[in-house]
Amino acid sequence: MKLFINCKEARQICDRGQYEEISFMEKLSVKLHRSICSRCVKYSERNAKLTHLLKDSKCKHMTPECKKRIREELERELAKTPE
Amino acid sequence: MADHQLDPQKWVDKYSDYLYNYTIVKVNDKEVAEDIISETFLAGLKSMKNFKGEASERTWLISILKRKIIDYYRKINSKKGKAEVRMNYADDEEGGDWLEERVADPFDRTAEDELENTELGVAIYACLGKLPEKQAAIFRKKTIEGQDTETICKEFDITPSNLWVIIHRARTALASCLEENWL
Repeated sequence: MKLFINCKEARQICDRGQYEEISFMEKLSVKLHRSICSRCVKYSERNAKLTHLLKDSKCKHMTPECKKRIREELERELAKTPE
Repeated sequence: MADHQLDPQKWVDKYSDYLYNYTIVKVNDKEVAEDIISETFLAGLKSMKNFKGEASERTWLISILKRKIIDYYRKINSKKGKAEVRMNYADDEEGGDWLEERVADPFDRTAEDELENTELGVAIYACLGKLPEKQAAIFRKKTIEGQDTETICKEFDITPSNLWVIIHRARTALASCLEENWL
């Protein structure tokens, strides 16, 4: 694991950071990179904002069971309809 | 040849969450919303021949959905006595002047927040709908459904670094889309 990383690496780590899938060293290297790169600071801010927005939204999704049920219903209907 | 075409095989994957977020604000009941969406898709199948291809598939489905939601309210309203207005206290034992008591109902505030947030949900799914299908599916599983990286990689037969490239693209596109349409 290296301490000095480029923008591409920093952004990838930042993305993973949104899902809390980074190590302590990675966190450190991103912090170091951000101290010299204003564009990556901007990137991080935007990324964090998106994460907050997604959390705030309590974005609802249909249960997989329900999707499956509807899919089956549709397929039954499709089989019935003559092309 | 029409600009837009219908592909009912993909409806559930592509639109069910979007329609669900749209519906849940209006009916506020999980099961009712699910039924309405299933009815919407079935009605869509039946009227496929009326689709002229002028609107996008999604817009067309939303127009059917809107009618289904109206139908739902008509149905429950016709079950009620026509001129009957019922106002119940949360607790029947309680008496008093309901109008004054209800005005500053603290639940209103949460209801409003929830409404706004679910509309944000609609905006998010609308933006997700603009991404390439696979990208949107992977992003949805990872971010909204919170699945493991490993599980998703297996399902789509990709490496973790593939996954993070896809997530990166999806996040960037989504952020721009939401900046335009929501913030």
